[in-house]
Amino acid sequence: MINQAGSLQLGDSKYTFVATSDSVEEGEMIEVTVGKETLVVARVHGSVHAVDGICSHAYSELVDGELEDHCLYCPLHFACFDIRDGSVVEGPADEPLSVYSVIELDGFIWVKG
Amino acid sequence: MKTIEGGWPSDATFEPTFPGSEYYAPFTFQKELDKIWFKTWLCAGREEEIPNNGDYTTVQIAHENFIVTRGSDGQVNAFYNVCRHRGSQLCSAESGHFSRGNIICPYHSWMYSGDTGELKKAPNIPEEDANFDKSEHPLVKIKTETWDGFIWINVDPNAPSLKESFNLPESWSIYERYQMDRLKLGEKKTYTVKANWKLLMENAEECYHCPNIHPELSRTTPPNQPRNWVGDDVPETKVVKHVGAMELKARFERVNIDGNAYRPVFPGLTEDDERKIAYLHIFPHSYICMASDYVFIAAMFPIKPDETLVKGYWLFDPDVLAKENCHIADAVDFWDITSHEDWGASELVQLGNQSKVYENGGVLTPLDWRVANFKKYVQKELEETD
Repeated sequence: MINQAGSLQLGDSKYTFVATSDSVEEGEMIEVTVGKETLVVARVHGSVHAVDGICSHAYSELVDGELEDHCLYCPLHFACFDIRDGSVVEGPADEPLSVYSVIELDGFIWVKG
Repeated sequence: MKTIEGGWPSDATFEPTFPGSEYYAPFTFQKELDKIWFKTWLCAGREEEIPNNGDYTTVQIAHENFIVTRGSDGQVNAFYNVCRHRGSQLCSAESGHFSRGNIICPYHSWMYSGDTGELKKAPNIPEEDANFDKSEHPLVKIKTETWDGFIWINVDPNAPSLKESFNLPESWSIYERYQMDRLKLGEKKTYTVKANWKLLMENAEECYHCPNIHPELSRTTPPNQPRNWVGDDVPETKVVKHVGAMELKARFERVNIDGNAYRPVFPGLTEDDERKIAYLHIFPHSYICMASDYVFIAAMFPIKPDETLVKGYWLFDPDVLAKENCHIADAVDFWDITSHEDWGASELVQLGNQSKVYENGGVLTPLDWRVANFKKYVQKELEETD
């Protein structure tokens, strides 16, 4: 059920519309806001992933970093995260990024939250 | 390009820092005490710290210590914390209460008036002794004034008034709506930092470091958002500096640890103020950070060339503090964490500045333009002839 505020209710979960499918190209990422959180939404091998948009180490917007396959590199200190599960691949970060559930349906991308 | 504070003034440029020795040489430190610290108005705390006659607080500046106390007429007085007999320090606590408003030396019990500093009693010395006149041995008073609930002291007997020095009330007009005179102290913390006092102020004069060391502050007020500067119509002085306001991140409600609102916004603020935190710096040693539901103040005092004592004050609406279970931890933690990050960085700079390779100093970038202004202020004060 889609309501007018751009959110989708699936069972107990609320999903927020963040982008149209064509705005997230293969190997690219965009920055979106869900509630108070800044997220990056990226497409890798066709699948869309959403993780925290601010590095878990210092304050840096990850959308300004680099995406190489599943590796998301922070632009400030080059910490590397796996965009699929938010895990730290390489420091200096030691905290993983939060991962957000994504639904891509009929050309729209929805993120849980 | 995203940049800190949205950029810098067109005349900001690259220039040298102070040489490294300025941050540890005893000669420089003593000169700064004489030319700056003992000549300017300093924030000695809040009026509500000493609400009653006889309440006192003390202020340490390098080797000097001062007593700040409330007299029977309600006025705040300040004295050198030195007995006129054999020079004992009179009180060693950070704060306390003088019974009946009398300051009594722990060594031989000479007793002074907390109102005037006059020597009232010198035990075992005959009153009729013609060779001893009590009126010749009062405590040495220093200047004190109050403004907006803050207590200010000045060691220089020839100093201009606080109003003249700060250009009051004009320079303060934009902060009147925060009604700081009615706010009350909710928390006070003291920090010892192993770094020269200038490094702490220089750190406060730039936000280039913010993304790197302040993840909490930066998430709440992203440092790459343009800063809201204060117009030229609000005067500054040699020591009063408007540092503009930072804006809250979208959907954050308060400048605190999680962005949630735990207290109402101060009455009298505009809708615009609600989403900002305004910064006012008082050279050489303090900054006042005005959020929409609390005010945080840091005041630094030099102890040694490589050691500085910082007093942190958190002010809240008295109605909030009066409530049972009042919640202030979101604001206290926010600035406690941010302050610790600043002190840690300053201590690293102190270590590096003591190296041989920094004897000629480093470089200030255009992003450090307010550090350059602070450096000019210090240089100018040191060049002043008495």
